[in-house]
Parts: sequence; C-alpha cells; structure tokens
Amino acid sequence: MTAALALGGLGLVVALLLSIARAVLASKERGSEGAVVDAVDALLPQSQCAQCGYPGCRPYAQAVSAGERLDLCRPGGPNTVAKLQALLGREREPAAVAQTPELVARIIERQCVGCARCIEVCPVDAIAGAPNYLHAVLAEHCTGCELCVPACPVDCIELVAWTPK
Amino acid sequence: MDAQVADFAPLDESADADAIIARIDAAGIVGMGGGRYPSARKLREARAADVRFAIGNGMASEPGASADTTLLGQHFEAVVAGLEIVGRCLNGAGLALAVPPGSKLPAPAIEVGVPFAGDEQRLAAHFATRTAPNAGQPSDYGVAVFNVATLFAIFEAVTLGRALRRRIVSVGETDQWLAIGTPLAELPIAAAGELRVNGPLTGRPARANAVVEASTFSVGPARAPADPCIRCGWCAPACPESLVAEHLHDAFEANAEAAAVFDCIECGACTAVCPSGIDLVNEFRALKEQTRHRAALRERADAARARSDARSERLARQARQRQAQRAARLSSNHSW
Repeated sequence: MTAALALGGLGLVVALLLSIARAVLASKERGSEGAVVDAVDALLPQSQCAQCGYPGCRPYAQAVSAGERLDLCRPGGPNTVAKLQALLGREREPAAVAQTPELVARIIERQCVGCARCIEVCPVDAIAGAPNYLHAVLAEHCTGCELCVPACPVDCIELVAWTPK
Repeated sequence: MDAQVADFAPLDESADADAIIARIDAAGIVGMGGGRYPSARKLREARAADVRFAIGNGMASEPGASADTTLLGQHFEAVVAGLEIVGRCLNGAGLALAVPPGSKLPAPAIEVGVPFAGDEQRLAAHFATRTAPNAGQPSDYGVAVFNVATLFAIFEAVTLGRALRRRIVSVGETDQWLAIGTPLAELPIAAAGELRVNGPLTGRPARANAVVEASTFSVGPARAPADPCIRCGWCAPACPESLVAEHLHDAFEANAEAAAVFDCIECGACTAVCPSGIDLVNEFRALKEQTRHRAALRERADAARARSDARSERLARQARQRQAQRAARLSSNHSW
C-alpha cells in the first residue's frame, strides 16, 4: 500500500514537472523562432519588392526560417545570401544570385498624368502627389523595388542608379 | 620652362590673404603630393581653424619618387618663397620645410628621420608631437601641410602670375617637367608594360587613358603579381596606427567589412615590409569603400523597414475604420 502510494505520488510529481517543462520549452521555442525571423529580416534589404515571390521582406524572412531557399532575394545579391548562409548554418546549399545595381525610381515629369496609381503601390510611401497633380519620387526614401513601374499607365517611371548620400 | 607666359598680373608684397587665396584658386592649384585637395580651400579652412603652423612636405617617402627632391635642388628658394606666401595667408604662421635625412638644405629645411613621414597625417603628428583621433586631419593638430610642388606652384601663381600647367614628375629613373594632361601612353616608359602612378607603396595602378594630373608625382612600372599571405606578421609592428594589416587583408579577401580600416592612414608602411608583395594600401582603400557602402545599405534598409511597417499599420487602421463605419451605417439605417 505504502509502496504503491509512494510510487504513484512520485509518478504524479514527475508528470507535473515534465508537463511544466514542456510548456516552458515550447514557449521558448516560439520566442526563438521569432528571433530567427528578426535576425533574417535584419539582413534583408527591405526593398519590399516581392521579387522573391513573397509579399515583402518580413514574409520572406518567415519563409526562410521555415526552410525556404536563401537565394530568392534579387536586390540583396550574393552578399545577402552569404550572410544568410552564415547566420543559419546553411553554407552547403547551392545558391545562384547575381549582383544587381542599387536603384531608385524617378518620375519623368513631362509624361506623368497624375493618376496616383503609383502612390498606392509604393510599399514605403516614397511617392508624393495627389490625383491630377504631378507626382515625385522622394529619392531618399525610395528602395528601388520597381513595384511602381507596372502600375504606371503611361510608363513614365524610370530607374536610375542609387548613390549613398 | 621659363618661356611660359604670365596668365595673371603678379601680386606684390602688399597683397592681402584674400587676394592671394583667390589667386591660388584661379591658378587651379591642388595638392600635388597626390591628395589633389584644392589648395585655396585648404588655406581657407586652415584660416578658419586658426592654424598657426605650416609645413612644406618634401619627404618624398615613396621609393623611386625623387621629383620632390629634384625640385628642391632646382628651385629651393622658390619653394621657400611659396611657403612664406602660405605663412602670410595664415597670419604669420610658423614655417618648416620637412626633408629626408641627409638632404643638407639650409633653413627652414628640417631633416625628419621618421620612416614613411611623407604621409601628411604622420608628418603633422610628428611636428605636433601628439596623435589625432580616427582619420584626423592635420588641422586637428593645428598644422597645415603643403607638398613642395604645391608650394612651388603657389610661388609661380602669386609672384610670377602663372597658372598651374606643368609639374615635375618622376618617370622611371628620371625626373621631368611634363605638361599636365600629357597621356601616360606617350611616355617612353609605357612601352615596357602596365604603369603605376604615385609610387609602389601608396600609389595606384594607372587607369586606361590616364594622363599626367596635377597630383601625379611619379610614374613607374606596375607591381609584380602578389603571392598569397604567408602569415609572417611583419605588417603588424610596421603599422604606425597599431593595426594588424593581416586581418584587414583577410577581411578584404573575404569580401567582408572591417570598421578598423578607417584608422588606416594609407601610409604604405605595411606594403613596404610585405614579403609577398601584396598591394595592401589599395586593398584597404577598397575595403573602406566597401564598408562605407554596406553601412549605407543597412541604413537604407532600416529606414525602409520603418516606413513599410508604418504603412502596413496605417492601411490596417484605415481598414478597421471603414469596417466600423460600415457597421455603424448598417445598424443606424435599419428604418428602411
């Protein structure tokens, strides 16, 4: 009787401890997953261009931490791939991405009709203007993501080389 | 060379500092020791910083670059006169002409025994007997440094009224007066192969279609191809800034960044001792550029992330507001 109670009690206590440990570890795991996404996101160029197939840099960072390919970021180029590989310990994965020049958009003012469609698609609010008024790209905020180019009905947006200020 | 006509009316002793500096500006004079910094601007900045000590730099510390030494031999008085003109611009600054040991030149020439002191920052630090902060300029020490060829050009512009049209250049083993703009390909030395401008240590490979510039003091053969780094460690004690050039070389090879490279004053001391013949100074120049560029990209990304997050938040807020307005409309319009 005493032996059964003692063993049963011990079993209960251990079961309780194990369940607490599991809950704590699981929450830690969730927390560190967010930390990985943050670390990946910090290495991405934040152009929000969606050329990787995800709707922005943060979604791609989440996909990468869940195992997505590392070489989908075109604006980041080989340097970003190398940093992601080093961060995640995935150096052995094949990666093919070319170096692309850093760009900013510029509106050709003679052609702009003031339709405001580019303003809506800009992911960083870098185009100033209002319907029926001339628009202008705020070069210091533009990431060169090219999302405004297909939105323009008169093809008046060009991309020029970005230079650090 | 004395046949050159005057471009300006000569200025006499009564000319004030502003007139002299305007003349130096008009004559197109820039730092002729390789720096290419506009001399008029340097003088204006030195005046604004109340610099009271001017040094003529005749150290000629690049191997094979004897143009400055030859210039001092040919036109010592003119160079000293140029230094005195600089002194007049700087409220009667103290003057010294730094020359290598064994030059045997009269005052104000002072023989400086520090190796690689042709570097402007090193020379200024030597005279100020203290060290400057990271990437400090000579004006931080209260000193202005002018190359002797610049001083000669200043003398010619102010006293003889001549614009800067030609300079003395070490070409191979000889020193010649060449017109600025002379294509390097026209020099006989170009037939021997690739060229290097401004010395084997701190110079650069000659670009395609390079010409003699105001800052070109030497033209010589290109460096031999470098061997791999053998980890001898000689570069570390050679560095006056206590940098370990080997580590910076690794960072360059790995296409990485290195914040410490901004302490490099590009004096060439490490290149001089490297037994593998690695062109370290030019690697560090590229590394500085790369490190700056990467930092600028990170700054751009951080700003873009903040703006993108702010936009997402705004769009979500607007969607919520529309939803609430719609719900309000639906609940208030139930009368019909």
